[in-house]
Amino acid sequence: MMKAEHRWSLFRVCMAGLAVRGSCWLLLAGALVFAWAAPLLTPWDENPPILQPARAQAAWLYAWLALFTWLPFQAAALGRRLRCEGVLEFFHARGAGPDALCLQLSAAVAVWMLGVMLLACLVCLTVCLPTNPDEARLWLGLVLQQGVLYILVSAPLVLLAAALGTCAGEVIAFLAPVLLLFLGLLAASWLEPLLAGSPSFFHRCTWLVLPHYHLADLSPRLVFKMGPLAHADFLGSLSCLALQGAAISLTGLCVFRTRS
Amino acid sequence: MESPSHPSLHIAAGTRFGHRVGCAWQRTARVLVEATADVSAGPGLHLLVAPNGAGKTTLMRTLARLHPALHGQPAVKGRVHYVSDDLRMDAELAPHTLFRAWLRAEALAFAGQLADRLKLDVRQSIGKHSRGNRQKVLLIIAEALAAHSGASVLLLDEPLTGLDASTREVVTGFWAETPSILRFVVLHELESLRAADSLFTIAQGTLRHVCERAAGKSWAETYHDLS
Repeated sequence: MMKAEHRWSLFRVCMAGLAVRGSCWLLLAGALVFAWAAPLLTPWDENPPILQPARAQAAWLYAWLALFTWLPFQAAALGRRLRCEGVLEFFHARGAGPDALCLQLSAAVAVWMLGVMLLACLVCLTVCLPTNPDEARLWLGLVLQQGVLYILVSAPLVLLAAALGTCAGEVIAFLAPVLLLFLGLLAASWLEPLLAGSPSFFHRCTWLVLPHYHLADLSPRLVFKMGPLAHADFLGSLSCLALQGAAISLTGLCVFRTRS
Repeated sequence: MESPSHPSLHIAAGTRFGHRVGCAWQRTARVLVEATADVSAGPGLHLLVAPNGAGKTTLMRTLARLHPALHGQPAVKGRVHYVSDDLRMDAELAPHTLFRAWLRAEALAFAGQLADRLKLDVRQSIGKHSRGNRQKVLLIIAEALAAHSGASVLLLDEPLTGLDASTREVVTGFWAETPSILRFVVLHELESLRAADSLFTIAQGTLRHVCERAAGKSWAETYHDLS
């Protein structure tokens, strides 16, 4: 008996649904336009050599902005829509497990996240690539590290948004990962002196369980061409983000619902 | 797991369908349907006709393993495809794109042929289609999957809603041509049906099943006699 449907058919259906919406293509086009145009708005002509690292910084800034806006919004909306329309139940009744459905659903949005990440890498490795071979090798290492860390942060957050979309309202499903990202990426620099250095055990524990997405932001190293993180530092960041990502992904899988 | 060669459905006497209501620590069973005798069905068209609120959807959801039975467990052999009455597909997608994204070669060709037969414009986005045409998209997907998935159990909740009279004729004619699938169909439009293999109904909370029409009577008249 021939198989009636493609492997990962929910993923394919979701991808087709996203691809017909113009916002996905605008997101990708915007990544290139932003990396090209944003540095031109600065007084770069006073010091032209800063233009190249500024473009790299703009490319990654756009990737982080996408993770604050479009990506969690689309994931939340997609989860909500598929649940309300009964599509998840249809697949569930056909034998697909909730975990597989959740992964397929979030993978459909994660593809666009990967697209944004790859475009940021592309900008860094083409227009911003240093001409000196030694510098170029270090630059390549740094860009790859940034790409890996970005994926480790964004994939679990997209999964969480999609999963929350199936069990809560769109607003909650959108805001929860955005709040986590805000805490981990932006608020960490303010919270660290308050919590990490506090004598209170409770404060120190709070700091430990907070998301440490600031570890994944290597923009300063890109701007000042500091080269890649030392091997041990990179592995430390990788482990920390992977553990936190696993916890967030597990939470997402637990809250995922198929019932319409 | 070995897949069965023929789809089948068996509900043992004493199986109860319904909901558990109340607080988590004080749940009480609210029985909607109870099977008082063993009920079995094989490949073919089986109708489920009952008044609103009698428990048809609960029964269907239990058969689709989306909802637990209150007592006992119906045995459904075969791949279940459950088309609920609130199932919808992405309004932005054209049926053609949806079929291509979802179905593989043979099932895709099958869907195209069925779309032609049902006179569905597959290039127009689903959101711009009428209620009846959107229903056709669901039917095509479900039938294409069922026809190419081995032993299939197709649970259809009011599948003819929104379809015009001639399309209903085409759909019921198609069902008659493909008897290897077990179709368990919630239906109110009994007059548009040419043939069926049995009729289920829910009367006073009891599941009843007849395999033949009363002598000289239609399925609609048989249902009225039962209820």
